[in-house]
Amino acid sequence: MKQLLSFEYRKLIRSKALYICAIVMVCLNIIGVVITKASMDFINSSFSGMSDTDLQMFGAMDYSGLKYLLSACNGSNMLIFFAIFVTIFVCSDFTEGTIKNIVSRGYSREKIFFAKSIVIGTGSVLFSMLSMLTGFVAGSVAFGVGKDFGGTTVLTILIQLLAMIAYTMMNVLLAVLFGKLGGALTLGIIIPLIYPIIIQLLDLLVVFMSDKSSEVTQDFFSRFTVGTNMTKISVIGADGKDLLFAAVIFFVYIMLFTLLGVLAIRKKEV
Amino acid sequence: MDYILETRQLTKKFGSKLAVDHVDMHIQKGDIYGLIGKNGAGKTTIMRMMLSLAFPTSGEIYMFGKPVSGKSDVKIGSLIESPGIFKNYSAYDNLKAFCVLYGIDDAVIEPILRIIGLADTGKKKAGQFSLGMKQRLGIGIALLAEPEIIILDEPVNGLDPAGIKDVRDLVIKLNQEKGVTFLISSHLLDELSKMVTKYGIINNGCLLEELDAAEMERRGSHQIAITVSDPLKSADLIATMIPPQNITIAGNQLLLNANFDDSAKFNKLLVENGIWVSALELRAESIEQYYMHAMGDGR
Repeated sequence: MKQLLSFEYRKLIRSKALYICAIVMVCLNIIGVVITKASMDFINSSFSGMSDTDLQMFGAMDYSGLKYLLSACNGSNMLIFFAIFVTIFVCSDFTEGTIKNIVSRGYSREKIFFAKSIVIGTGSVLFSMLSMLTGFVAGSVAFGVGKDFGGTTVLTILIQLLAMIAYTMMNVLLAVLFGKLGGALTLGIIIPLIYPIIIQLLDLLVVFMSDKSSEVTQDFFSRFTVGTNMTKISVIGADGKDLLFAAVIFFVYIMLFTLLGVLAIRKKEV
Repeated sequence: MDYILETRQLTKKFGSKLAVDHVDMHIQKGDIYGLIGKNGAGKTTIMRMMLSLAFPTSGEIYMFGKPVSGKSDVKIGSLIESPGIFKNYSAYDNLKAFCVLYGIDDAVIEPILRIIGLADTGKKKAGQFSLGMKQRLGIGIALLAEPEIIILDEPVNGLDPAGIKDVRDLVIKLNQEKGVTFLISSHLLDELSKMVTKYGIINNGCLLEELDAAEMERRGSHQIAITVSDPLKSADLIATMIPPQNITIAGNQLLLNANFDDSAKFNKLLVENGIWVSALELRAESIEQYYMHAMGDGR
């Protein structure tokens, strides 16, 4: 296992896709902050007589390094980056045929799966932390650090990283299932975008079909998605119950994708 | 008899299609075993199962007398279909990556690069290599950890004549100097005959027969073609040495089904009897022709 991990880490370190995605992500984060800052400056100069309450209506008072830190990983950009570099990393062994050199040496498929998952999981965590860091630094320079940088912030960040690992495992699963970059990458991008829509439709269906007197909520299904929970905890001072619920949901998704991934690779002929 | 690699009733089905049909294959230590068969005969599938890349539907594979479970620590090298290499790595870095995977000291890299003739490629990326160079790099990876058996699937496919010779020389060198056993499949049967010590002929998933190179040679027919000034007189003369039914007259040529060693005697007999011999050609039925016969002329 140690040799497999070393082999995979060497590959990760030399992965161009990871660095390209990281550079683009950093640039997008900075550009996002610059655009927001410019917009806010425009609003402030155009409506100089406005009260703080009025400005809050434009969102002009909410921006800070802390806000960017906590919202850095919540968005479709991150999902696309993850789909790209996770899929390229896992599929490369299948497309370049190097998986044959690994399997034929007697390494079990389960070990190969776990080695890949651990290494790319580490990469994803580092990638997410870089996104948070750049968001925080750029946001702090533009708007100030922000208040309420308390103990829950660290906990929130850790739970958000669990969500990123869940997304990573989903992409690892797709890559193992397909083995080919095109299909895995396409689904890795499309699924996180379409899945919430389907869940929302199901929620509406449940509400529509339920008895009005019952206590069915509009988030009957969507409260169990990674996206919904990620959004809930991407704010300053997230509720403790929300954090705990999100952590459980993310953990369950990680376990589910891992289990499906192991089952998929066991049956896979390479 | 102890076999280094053996299959017992090895079978593989893809849906309802029987790709490998109860194959019993036997490879001894030191063999260069040539697995021959047309496209889709099941060669690659057998090799993939031996390497745990594919799962048998039934049957067993034994390596060094032990069942292959997919978790063995057997020193085996392989090159199946296309070489599994990192295209954005140099030859050295490719071998280095697999040294890490196999837990081998990277001191072996330079000697292997020299053996496969890629020592001078420097930082050139493997993706920019010619097909032959990629193939040799694939063999280089297979050579890491000093394997006792190497499985090569169509190793000379797509190579130019120089590349084919390189691979052949490398196989023979490793077999003779280091005692490495080889299992090789190839479509280039005459090329295969230059290195193989044992053959397995496969058709439609069935192993038709296994025979050693000497037996294959013996089974192949031999023909001597002599171009002469007087075919009729020549035929009468040679009929004193071999049965007349082994002599065919085709224009000014005599076609003799006879041992090659007798060709000098025929030549001497004809010349001493005043017949001009303008050409003498030894024609051996190629392994390809024998293979076609074994296949039922490809039907």
